[in-house]
Amino acid sequence: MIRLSELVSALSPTHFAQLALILFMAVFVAVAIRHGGKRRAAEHAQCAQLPLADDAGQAGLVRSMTRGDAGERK
Amino acid sequence: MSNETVRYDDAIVRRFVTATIVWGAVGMLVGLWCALQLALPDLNFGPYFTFGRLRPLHTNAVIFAFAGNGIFAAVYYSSQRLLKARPIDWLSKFHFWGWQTIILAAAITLPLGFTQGKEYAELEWPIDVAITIVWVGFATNFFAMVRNRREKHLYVALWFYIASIVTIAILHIFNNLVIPAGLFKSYSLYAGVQDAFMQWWYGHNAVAFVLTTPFLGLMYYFLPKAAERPVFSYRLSILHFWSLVFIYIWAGPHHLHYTALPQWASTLGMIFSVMLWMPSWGGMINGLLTLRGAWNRVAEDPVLKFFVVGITFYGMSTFEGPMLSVKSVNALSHYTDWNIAHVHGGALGWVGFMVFGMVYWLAPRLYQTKLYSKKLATTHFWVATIGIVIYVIAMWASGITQGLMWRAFDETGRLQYPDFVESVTRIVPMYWMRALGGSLYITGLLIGAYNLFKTWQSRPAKYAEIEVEAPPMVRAKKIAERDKRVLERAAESPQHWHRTWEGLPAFFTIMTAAAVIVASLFEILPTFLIGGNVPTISTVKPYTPLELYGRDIYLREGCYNCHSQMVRPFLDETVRYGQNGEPAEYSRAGEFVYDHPFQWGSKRTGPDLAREGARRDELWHLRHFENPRSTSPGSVMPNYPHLLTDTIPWDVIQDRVDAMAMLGVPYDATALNHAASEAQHQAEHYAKELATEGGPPNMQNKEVIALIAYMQRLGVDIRLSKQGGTK
Repeated sequence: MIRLSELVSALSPTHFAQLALILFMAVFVAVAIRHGGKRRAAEHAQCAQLPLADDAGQAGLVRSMTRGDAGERK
Repeated sequence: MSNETVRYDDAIVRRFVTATIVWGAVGMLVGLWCALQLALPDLNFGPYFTFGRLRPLHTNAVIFAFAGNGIFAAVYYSSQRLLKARPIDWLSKFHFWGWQTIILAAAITLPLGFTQGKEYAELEWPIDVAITIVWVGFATNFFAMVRNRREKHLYVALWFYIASIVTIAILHIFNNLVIPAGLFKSYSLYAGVQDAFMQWWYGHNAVAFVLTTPFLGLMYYFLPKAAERPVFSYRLSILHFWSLVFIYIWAGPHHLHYTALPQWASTLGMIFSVMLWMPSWGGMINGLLTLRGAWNRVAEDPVLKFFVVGITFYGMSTFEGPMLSVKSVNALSHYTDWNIAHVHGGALGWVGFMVFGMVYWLAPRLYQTKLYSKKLATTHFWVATIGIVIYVIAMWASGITQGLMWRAFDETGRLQYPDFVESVTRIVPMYWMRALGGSLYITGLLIGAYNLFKTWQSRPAKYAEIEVEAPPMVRAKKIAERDKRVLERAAESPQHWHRTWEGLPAFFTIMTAAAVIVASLFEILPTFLIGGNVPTISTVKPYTPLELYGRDIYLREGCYNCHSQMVRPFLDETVRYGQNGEPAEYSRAGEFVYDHPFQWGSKRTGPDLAREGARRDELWHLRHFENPRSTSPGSVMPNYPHLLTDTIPWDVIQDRVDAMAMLGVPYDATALNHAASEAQHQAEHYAKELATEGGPPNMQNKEVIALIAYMQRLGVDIRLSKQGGTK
């Protein structure tokens, strides 16, 4: 059975670079295609709202202190 | 099912915010001290407070204490809210106090000279073990929140946190694998080329996963909060995340262009560094465009000011970084202050401003009162911005000046500036200018600290607990059942796979780790397994026990902070570092096979030392260590008079030789059994030489002798190979 070091040594370093580039390009293109279409827009918009909705239900205490110009005393 | 109440733990966020500001001030003040030492060497107070020992303290404090605590504050505040889950209280306290103890240990041990001798990984093995334990505690706490979450989907900020937590653990463990030779002394498992590769795989990814990805997480959470609008493009954030995680991990070798690292690895590092432009600028654009429709508020809101300029510096740094990684640019910029400009543009501009923006946004919420002064916050912003600009311009000018002077030949074909110190004295004014810029930045920080202190003073007698109503927690068993259903549905329907992943944190984490590990292996495997990467040189022998101890002094004093040991294959370098009118051999991979750790350095405040052996006599070295200006007028190197008085601890030498032998260094029987007496014998030889040259008598027990022995060995073996020693 071929050893890993023999396999790696048999390849030129250029092969590693090429393999890696192909792998990266394939992943990137796949991600780009999946997310490029408009049909995901509503889903993405919903996800984007997560941080803005994260204090919903929180006592009004903090909000009242930080809205607008009331956020500072001096 | 009825909703549950979640009480957030903001006390832990307050603690980390305080630690961020306190350690930030300490780390930056030490940085200012270092900057002044380069302009005024009398500010070195040996043996503990010299530049070589303080600079690692500055870098570690700013990276792991200031930025680190800032990251933890961001993670604990935002994750609780994004996940609707409270961390485990005792783990949060363990994490906080454990991390502060580690920082304190670093602040004590680094000036004492306990160091592994690798940049940003200087801390010795017991502290590294503590870091691992505390990091595991942090990860456990974070993933406990993920497990107990009441929000199904993981928002983009959390992906960046996950990537950081996983990758930092991998980097820290693999770069810090050592063989201990005592409680605070160890040798890297790797040597030479391989150690250099691992170090910069770690070093560059410390930039990526300590100073970039967590701050992108911070940006994706706090910027929309401050701007009160969602991130510009969630779609872009997905592309940003995956391409950044996949590409960043490859870029490390760009720190080693034209060194003895194999060309293929260097080129690969360059290509991926240039490719980094794409995700980096994608993220920057995503950040800036989040402010669409809110730009009018930037003029009056200091939080948004900090964020906008911080993100702009991210864009500038991630433009400059790939540019510096292009080999032809790097040939000029490497080892110069240009790198210092680049690093500080990112650290002060991006990291610092994102932290300050976050802290000002958090302050009223954490201390449950109004911010003491918006005017002071705005003053902080402007003073710090001007400070960065002055700092960066000074270091750009200094770096380009150095690069051009080192390579300049006159019309007769000789080096125009053959004495290295000429390039030092020329840039001293730039060092003063840098100190001014740094002072302004620190002044801004102190103004901010005062503002926060005054805000804290007007806190309520008792903090109100922040609580929210949320759907019931999804327990592990239910998660498993639901995940199974989700996967089945995913297989049956065209449901969006990334959203599916976002609901499966364990799977998401594994995929992130896989992206990092696979990318790393593409570089690491060939570097370690292809024998041709490190051709052996038969004349290269292990250091003698005395030279080994001398090398340990070199590490202890942090000489690698200012001196490289790598003659690049450039005419100006082979000429500059040659002897007797003959150009030097450029550095070969085979020269470093016994260098645990490698000492190639990354900066030349002083000249390269790879060919220092036998260039000068022993007395010159002794005088130079005692007072560098006595032999090199204009030098900014610290005095090391203690080396002439401190005695060599002969009893530690055998342990150190044994540790090196465990690493495979082929010591002979004499060294393996009688290392101390062999070292004493060689020390007597050097002491005799010194006395013959007119130096002080009876120096055979002094540390300076060991360091001189090491200096006189550097680059000697390669000269012997000219008689046909290369295999």
